[in-house]
Amino acid sequence: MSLRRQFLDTPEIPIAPMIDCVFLMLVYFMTTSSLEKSEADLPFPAGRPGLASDPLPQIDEQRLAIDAAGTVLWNGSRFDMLDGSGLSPLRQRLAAFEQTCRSAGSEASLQILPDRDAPHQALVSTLDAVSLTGIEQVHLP
Amino acid sequence: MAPMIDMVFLLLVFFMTVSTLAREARPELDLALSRTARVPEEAPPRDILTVLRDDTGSRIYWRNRQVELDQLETLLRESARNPDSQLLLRGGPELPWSEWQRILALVREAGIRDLVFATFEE
Repeated sequence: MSLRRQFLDTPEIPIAPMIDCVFLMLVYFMTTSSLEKSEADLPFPAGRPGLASDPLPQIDEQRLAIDAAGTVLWNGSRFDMLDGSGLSPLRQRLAAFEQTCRSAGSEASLQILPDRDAPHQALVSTLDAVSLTGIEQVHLP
Repeated sequence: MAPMIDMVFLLLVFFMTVSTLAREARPELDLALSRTARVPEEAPPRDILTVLRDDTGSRIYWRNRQVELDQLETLLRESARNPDSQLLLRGGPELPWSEWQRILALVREAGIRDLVFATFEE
């Protein structure tokens, strides 16, 4: 009798409503959450207006054209930037250019000239190649 | 029963931690892939400009709102009043340079210098 009374008097935490609540929260977060990819930042070489106090750099500027097919044309060479095959060769050529400028005591500078139909991916890949070589003087029209 | 509750709690914690509820408003878009771009740990306050292009033409969005070029000019001037303002440019991999050209002309005229392309990490 005393054992039964003791069993009946033991306080119980009702667990079923808590599980219901947790399930509801789980369903809510599963439906509202977005597992999409995070967006990354690629600085755009907008440059800044020149100031009168700026020293005149010794600049050896090269021009890279991007055609409508996404190919970079530079000094007679072609680098396909859309299928990715041109990225590594372009990077090597840019690195050599940067090295040449540095040994000559000047700052490497590039002007990128995309065709009006040049795809955005080709421009981004070209900026990637430039960024990997450490050339900071980049201009876009 | 107890292992199931443990599992449900684990799932709950997982979804609570990975979900992003306070995301800045922007249209859904497949972005160009970049090898050097990085996801910023703490992005500065910035305005978001998206260009969507399909068979019917191109549309410009300021944050999540579609705008015309003349409206964009006003918005860019307002944005340029804040010297620390950054402008995030979002476009698909196929977007032709001519679309950026006409927008960048307005951006430069407004005096915004801090520009960033939105990409996906390759």
